[in-house]
Amino acid sequence: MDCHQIETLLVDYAGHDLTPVLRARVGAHLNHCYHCSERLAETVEMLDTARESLRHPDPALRYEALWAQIQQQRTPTLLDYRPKLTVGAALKYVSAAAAMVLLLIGAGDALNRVSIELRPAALRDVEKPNAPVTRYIAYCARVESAAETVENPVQSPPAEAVPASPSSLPANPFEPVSRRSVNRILS
Amino acid sequence: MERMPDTELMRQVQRGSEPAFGALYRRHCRRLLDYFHGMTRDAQLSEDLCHETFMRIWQLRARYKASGSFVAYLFAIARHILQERYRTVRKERRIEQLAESEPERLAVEPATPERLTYRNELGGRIAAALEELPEEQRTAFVLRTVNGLSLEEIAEVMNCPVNTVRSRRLLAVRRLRSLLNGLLVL
Repeated sequence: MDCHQIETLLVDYAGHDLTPVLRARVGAHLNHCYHCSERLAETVEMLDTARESLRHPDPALRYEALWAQIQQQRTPTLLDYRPKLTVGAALKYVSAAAAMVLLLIGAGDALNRVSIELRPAALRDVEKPNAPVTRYIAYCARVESAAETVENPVQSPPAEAVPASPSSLPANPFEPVSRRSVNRILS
Repeated sequence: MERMPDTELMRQVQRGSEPAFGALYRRHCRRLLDYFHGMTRDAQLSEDLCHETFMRIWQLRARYKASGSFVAYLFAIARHILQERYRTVRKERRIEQLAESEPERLAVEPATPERLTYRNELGGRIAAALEELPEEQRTAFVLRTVNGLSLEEIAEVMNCPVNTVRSRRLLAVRRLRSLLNGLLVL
């Protein structure tokens, strides 16, 4: 080991913080190196002086005073950690709640307006003769009248009564479209 | 009770035993005073901080877990309290500077040159030079040199690896040596 490496170990050597092997190697170097020995002596001198000068000059024990101080202090309970509600904080909470209510009302109103604006578009389609919705309504009307015929055979003359069968109903050209969805559009 | 290990005493303190607490105080008070004095150079402040540390130990006794060394636990609390104090003092200093008044130092020990021998002068210089060091280096230096804590205990106090403690102490000594340039005469 050279002097530079030894220099980094001198503090640990002085404080007995080296492993026995390393300590022996540093000791062997110090035996023949005047410069490092002087550095070690300076380090030890500095550490000893620091130890003496940094210690408390008059470490008096004042346990009675400490215990009296502890006795005076009340042990904190869970209630002590609860958030303190001041007028300012209460106002803050109330205004936040009011803002949230207003926001909800505004959002509901906006949704309602959008749905009103969309509704006439569907109704306009109903007025067009060739629109799918109009044709489907006509189809539904035919189906309903056919069903009524089947349910009330007495009302119609017996000679003209047609036996009810699914094949007698008009064909449904709108298979994927349900009556329910049409009603939803119209409503 | 005086011969009981720290962890056993602390267990009794957790059950509310005042004599055990007294025994812990008598056992560690001086070391704690030395630590605070080494860090602040103010005897009165050291005593206040020492009391504060033991009060904190009493208040937090329920949270203590005997997993590591009690000394490391004690000094970790002491260091935390000292850092809190530094923060408060820094804040007060800022307020004082705003008010254009003379900022009061955390610890000032008047030194008259007449009564200073070489050793005293060196001690004063070391203490003054310590204030120039970063808090981590100063803590590592004081805990090892003044309090005699092992490197492992210091690592536990500072919550860092042992080698970090080693390098911090080495940096502190190097810095002190450069600050005390020319004063170290054998």
